[in-house]
Amino acid sequence: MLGTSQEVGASGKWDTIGNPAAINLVSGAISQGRVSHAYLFVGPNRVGKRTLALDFARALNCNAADVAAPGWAELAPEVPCGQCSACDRISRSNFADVQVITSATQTSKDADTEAAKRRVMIGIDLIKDLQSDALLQPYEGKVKVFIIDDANRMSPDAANALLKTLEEPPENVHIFLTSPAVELLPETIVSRCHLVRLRSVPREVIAEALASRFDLDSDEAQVLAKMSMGAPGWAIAAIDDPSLLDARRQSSARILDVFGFDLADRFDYSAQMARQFRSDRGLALDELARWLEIVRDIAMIQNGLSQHVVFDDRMEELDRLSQALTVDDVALAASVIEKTRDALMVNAYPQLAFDGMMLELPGLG
Amino acid sequence: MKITSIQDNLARGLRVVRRAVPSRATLPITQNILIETEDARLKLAATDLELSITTWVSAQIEQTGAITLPARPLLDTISSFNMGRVEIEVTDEPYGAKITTTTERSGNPLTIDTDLRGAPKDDFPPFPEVSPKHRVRVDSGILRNALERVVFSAATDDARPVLTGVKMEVAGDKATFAAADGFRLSIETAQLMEAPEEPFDALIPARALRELGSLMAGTVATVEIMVSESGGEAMFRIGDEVEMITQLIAGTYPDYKSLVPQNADTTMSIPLESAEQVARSMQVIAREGSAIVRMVAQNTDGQGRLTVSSNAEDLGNSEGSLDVDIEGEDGKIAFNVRFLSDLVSNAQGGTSNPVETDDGAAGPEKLILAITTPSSPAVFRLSSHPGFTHVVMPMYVQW
Repeated sequence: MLGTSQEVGASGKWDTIGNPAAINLVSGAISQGRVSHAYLFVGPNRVGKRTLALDFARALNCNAADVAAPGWAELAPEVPCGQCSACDRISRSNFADVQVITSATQTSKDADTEAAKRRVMIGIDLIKDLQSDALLQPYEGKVKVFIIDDANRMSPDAANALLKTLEEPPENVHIFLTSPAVELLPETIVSRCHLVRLRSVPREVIAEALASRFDLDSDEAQVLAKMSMGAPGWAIAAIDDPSLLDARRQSSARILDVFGFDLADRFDYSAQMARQFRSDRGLALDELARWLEIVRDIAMIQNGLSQHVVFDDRMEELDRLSQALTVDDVALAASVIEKTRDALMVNAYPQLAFDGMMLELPGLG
Repeated sequence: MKITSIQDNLARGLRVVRRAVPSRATLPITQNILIETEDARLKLAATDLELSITTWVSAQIEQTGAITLPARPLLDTISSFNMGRVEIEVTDEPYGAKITTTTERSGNPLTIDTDLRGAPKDDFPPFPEVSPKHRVRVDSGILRNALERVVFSAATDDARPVLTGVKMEVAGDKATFAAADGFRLSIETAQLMEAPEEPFDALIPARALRELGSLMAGTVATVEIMVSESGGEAMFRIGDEVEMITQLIAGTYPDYKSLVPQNADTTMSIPLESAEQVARSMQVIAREGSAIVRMVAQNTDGQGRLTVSSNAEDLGNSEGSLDVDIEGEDGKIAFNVRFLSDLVSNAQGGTSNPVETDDGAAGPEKLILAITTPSSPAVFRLSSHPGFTHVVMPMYVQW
């Protein structure tokens, strides 16, 4: 059995699924009374970075134990209790002293929330708002916590403005940042934060958490856990929105087909992808991620590890591909897909990037 | 909860607490107003987490309870008619309130039902409990005038957060308020109804005091000022109808007393009314140029003459002069016209009538300006308000 939240040293109700080492680091900081004022949570998308940051915020503000009082160390493992009004409202983003800041957060200069929704960067106005909010004493909680979600989206101005606050935040203020990778943030920011790394969560851990917390039957939990690729956040979202699972299945079916296409059909597919990329780059990049997962499944079968295949509802086609393609073909496919993704990230012309991928990708022909 | 209230009363109460409803939705629930039955009255409350306002209106209470409703639709629903009754009843499915407005204007009864979705009271951030450590009382008129002369000098940007606050220092039966933005400083003293048990101080956000000023407008009441045990909050209670709680600013306020120049080479006394006219006229030209107003004072054997001028290169110039009472040498100085007009328009406080001077003789208010060199800070005082001091940094100009 791999570590679940029940097995970590902390006995509080942590919403974070898996990642016992990260939870221990955070709860250890509380029980040792060494909570730093700035933390950076790093890990893959939807792995639970913001959830852990919120757990941390709940633990610091939990009414079950007075973390500021002497002798709190013995009580600390009980936080967050998950029961008190503070824990409850922090989880529902309805607590005065815990604020999650994203690129879509309304600034004091925006007339309404609509203006903010279209933004993709965290601008300096948001950081300035944070700084003036941080100067006030906590309203109802013990400490103020600002969670800057996807802090890698901060503009250079915003990041520079934040430096001063990270260095010397006002008393009782904690700033938590999340980012998919350390390299996406300026070194000056990283060096001022305690680093907490989160890793992809093992399938069994996700399945068990889904079954116990969301009352899913174990088959359903298994499917979602497997398809989440180690990202509990995706699995939880997919419980409420079955279309996420369907989309993932459809895109895997489509990709398996493309391997067998002739060049003309492949170019149709690349034109479609280029259109998709222009209208919603997130969806197109998701599809590329799916490509890598399919290639991974093929490699698993080639190496005799069929039990780790994710898209096992397509076992037959995957089997066929793993026999038709050589090991080198599969390695080439993976590098072609990654090259395409990297090119797109630096604003390559989408049609050309996808066409190139289709040309280089090994096939059944 | 089920209550009935007079439309006018309810609308007035809602307009009072609405001042605390934030325009920015960092915590969406704060866009709501809390409505709760309390004893035989209806409590209305709103907060933006920095500033909280609570007021009570009379109502007929059929069933006790509480709910929070979105501020703007609620106020608009209740203000959309007048001279009538409002009934508010909490509904379960969907959770919210049924608001029934009834008016019989022009003898034609009209009833409108509006269902508004709401959120339970428990979702609302709890209002800070201010367990007062310090408490003083002051007349609302005195407090309002004092604040008016001080608050405008506070900084509006956050570059130096402590400067966005107003320092209140209570000692004996006087409260001293001070605000500064790095270029100017206002100090005013207000007479309290009694001395507190021990001296105390607080750094209050200027914004909260501006709202307090508006809340006190038109009322004659006793204002109670309380600072909490923790020093984190201050509460202002106006009469027994309105309570405002504000978070205090943490930080050390600069030692402003040392910034007030003690000596002057030239002291002149200008009727406040003339000063207002001068500032208004000079502004026309100055604001188009570099905002500079030059003042030259000449003392010819005790006969004072003040010449004021401004110019804008592309527009033109204006100049005026007036007789003033003067003491000391000739002098000259230049100011930013905005600082001058801010001063004269706020110096009156809330009242514009001639006030009793210290020696008992009624007379027009005079602005007393004390200067030394053209590059040293200048001090303004008011003839009838000895507690008031305003220090302005001059502008450097070629004379």
